Amino acid sequence: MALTNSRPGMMQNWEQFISRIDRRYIYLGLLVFTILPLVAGLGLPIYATPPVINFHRSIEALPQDQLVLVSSNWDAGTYAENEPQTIAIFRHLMRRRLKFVVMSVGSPNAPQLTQNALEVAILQEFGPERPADAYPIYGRDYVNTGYKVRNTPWIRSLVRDPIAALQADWKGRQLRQYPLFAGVTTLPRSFSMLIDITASATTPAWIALIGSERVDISLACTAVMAPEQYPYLATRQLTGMLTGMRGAAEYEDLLDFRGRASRMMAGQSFAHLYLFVLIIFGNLAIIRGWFARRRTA
Amino acid sequence: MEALTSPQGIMIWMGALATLALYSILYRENPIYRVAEHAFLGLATGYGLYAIWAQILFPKWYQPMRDAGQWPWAMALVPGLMYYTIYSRRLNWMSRVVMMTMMGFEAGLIFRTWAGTYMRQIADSFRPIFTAGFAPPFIQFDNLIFMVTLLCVFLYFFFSFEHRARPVARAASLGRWLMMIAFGAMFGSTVMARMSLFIGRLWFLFTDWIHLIRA
Amino acid sequence: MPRSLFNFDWFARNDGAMWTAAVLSILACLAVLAVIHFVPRQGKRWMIVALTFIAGAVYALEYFWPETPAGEPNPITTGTDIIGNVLQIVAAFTFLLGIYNLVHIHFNNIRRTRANWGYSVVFFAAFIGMAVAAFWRDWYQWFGPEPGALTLANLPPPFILDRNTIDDPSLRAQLGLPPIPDTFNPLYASDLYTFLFRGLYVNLEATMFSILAFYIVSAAYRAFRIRNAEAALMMITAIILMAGQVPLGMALTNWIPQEGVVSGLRIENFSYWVLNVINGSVQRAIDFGLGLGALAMSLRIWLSLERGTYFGQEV
Repeated sequence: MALTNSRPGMMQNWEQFISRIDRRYIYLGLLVFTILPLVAGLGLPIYATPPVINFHRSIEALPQDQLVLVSSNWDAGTYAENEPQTIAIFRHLMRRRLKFVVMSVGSPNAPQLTQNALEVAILQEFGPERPADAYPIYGRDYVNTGYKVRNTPWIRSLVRDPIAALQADWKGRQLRQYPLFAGVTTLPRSFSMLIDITASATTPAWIALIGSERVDISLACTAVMAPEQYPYLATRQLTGMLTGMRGAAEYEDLLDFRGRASRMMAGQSFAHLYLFVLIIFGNLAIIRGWFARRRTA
Repeated sequence: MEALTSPQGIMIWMGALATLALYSILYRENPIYRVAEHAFLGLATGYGLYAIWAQILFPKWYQPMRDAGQWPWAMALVPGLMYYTIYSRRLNWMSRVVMMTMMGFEAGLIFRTWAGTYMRQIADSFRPIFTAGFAPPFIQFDNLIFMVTLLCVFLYFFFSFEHRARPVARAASLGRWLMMIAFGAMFGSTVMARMSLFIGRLWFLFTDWIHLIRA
Repeated sequence: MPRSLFNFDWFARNDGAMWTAAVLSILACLAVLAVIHFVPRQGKRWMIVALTFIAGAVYALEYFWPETPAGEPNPITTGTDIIGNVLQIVAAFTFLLGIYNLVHIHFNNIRRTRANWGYSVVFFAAFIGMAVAAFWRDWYQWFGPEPGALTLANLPPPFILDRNTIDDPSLRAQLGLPPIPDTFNPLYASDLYTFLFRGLYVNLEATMFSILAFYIVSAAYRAFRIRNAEAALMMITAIILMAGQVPLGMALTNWIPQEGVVSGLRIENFSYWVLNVINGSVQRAIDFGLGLGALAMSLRIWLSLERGTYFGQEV
């Protein structure tokens, strides 16, 4: 069924007109449409979707002092999506007084970025007045184990013996010296949950090798990756999911704080509207063609 | 605008100028963009070198030898370096040995990963369309749509026989339509992802650098 | 594994013996490689086939061999633990191959003064700057004495001592060091590192990827054409989904109650339904196809049936 305009002349004229518009004007339009609501501080409510609510619930359900493995696999390329997610997730883990081990298999600079995000989260959650010996203490309540190259045999070893597989923290200090790892045996026995904050395809290996050992996995991914994860949400192979910046904003809402993601979402609305207008604009000749044909019919 | 007096201020200015340098490509191709691009590449490479040593080679390879005397780890250097023969015509069999052995390990794990991933997926794909007893009616509706979509898309990708019979052709075509819905969803998500990254940059420029947005 | 074969304590105490053993073991490996090098081509090919098969068989057997009745892992499982660690190291060395390639290309650009060789100089400046700052910052932690073993006598010269190398205030006082300065000083490695990492690297990378937003906008009005009904369906779905994921779109339908049967008509709920039910089942069907493909491909690799680049070529 072809919907192309019956009058090719008009179509061609329009196409020519569109191709003559300097793309820089289009870019400028995006800038203006995005920046205005941000400057105006436009705040509209955002509603949490079931995957985000389930993510929140799965952390709420964990008793205090349980151990959580956070696999943080993003780099600065997806900063705006993954950083607010990371901050919100860390704040929730700390609010629940959980212990956590951070590791990265996605990108060599992920450990540093995650550490920076963690410092922000600690500051936001406990304020600048936090005593040095209060929760969370490095080595007792959390450890950053740095970057490892992702390969399936290594992940298999990680499941069997996390201390031997991770070996040292991101500063090269052996993990056995930390009290956090005192009772750690195998991954399914010692860790209650795995949280994957990711911008690359790290999740399949977790689902296949860790999820199958009955460890709950929750995912915070970029919006590009999200549609592909729905089959796994249906089987509860993923217990919850945060979709990009929007997922972070919904999570912030559930945690009762207005972080950067919630505020940046104002810019999303108008950027989306702008894109919507552009799509219609580009198709104007075709849409006119439909109506013209309907009239003649 | 952020003052240039504090270290924090200098860092923000550096970041802002770097951002603008890269964005200059949107106006037109220019040397400032190229300089920023190559600086990025250099920084990433330098950081990669550091990260590989600091987070893998030092704790997993060097430290066990130095502190625990575990000299056999030294031998791991050999397969590691065998990869480097990839460009040599005479020696590239060595790179082939390492590459294929590593792929062999991955291939052997496919049974475990496949079962871990797909067993539950398969089990979940048999969903009841009619249920006895009380249940909200829309659940069956969802299951019906799920089953139809799954089978039609399957059929679309089924190339073992030609889709000549009319019901088969129709179902495959329906599968194609349903895929368009999924692709529309993926496009929508991609738009949000791309916009997020841009908004993140605007947030940095207009909050941290020139204080136009109140943080 | 090696721990059970040898007692390494003696080597740990005798540095010289340890490094001798390490170098000798590397030389032994190289000697084995040299011998294999003179094996005829066909023999090498069979060796690769055999190694690939054995490597795959290890994990295949590990999976299919049942656990002991007590729930203890089978002997192969315990044996495979070390493979992951060895592969980490091998993979790390291969990662360096990528770095070597980049450096090689840019070095040649400069040496032959090819067009735009100046950009290669920029590459090297950034590469060396970042590497030096990062290595310098952590050097002392890797190769210096333990923090507790520091005395005035073995205190490193100030240019090696980073601001955070000794961060315990009482230890600093004991060693006669001034308190950690608050001000930024690029002569301290960690400050230089922060400067380059947070100031430049993070911003450059984030910006590089954010340029995609402009391209998707440009593509939206130039390339997204609804020339047939399928494209129209895709566009309509995309627009509904886009409306359902931003606050402005949600505001369109927030007069519909959040509870009850009609709540499904709220745009965020409807788009979630599309994502979950239709998109979810399409993705699953595609995923099954991919999964079967991966299984077949893995079997072909394992049994060396695959042909093409790197596979089955003459060695």
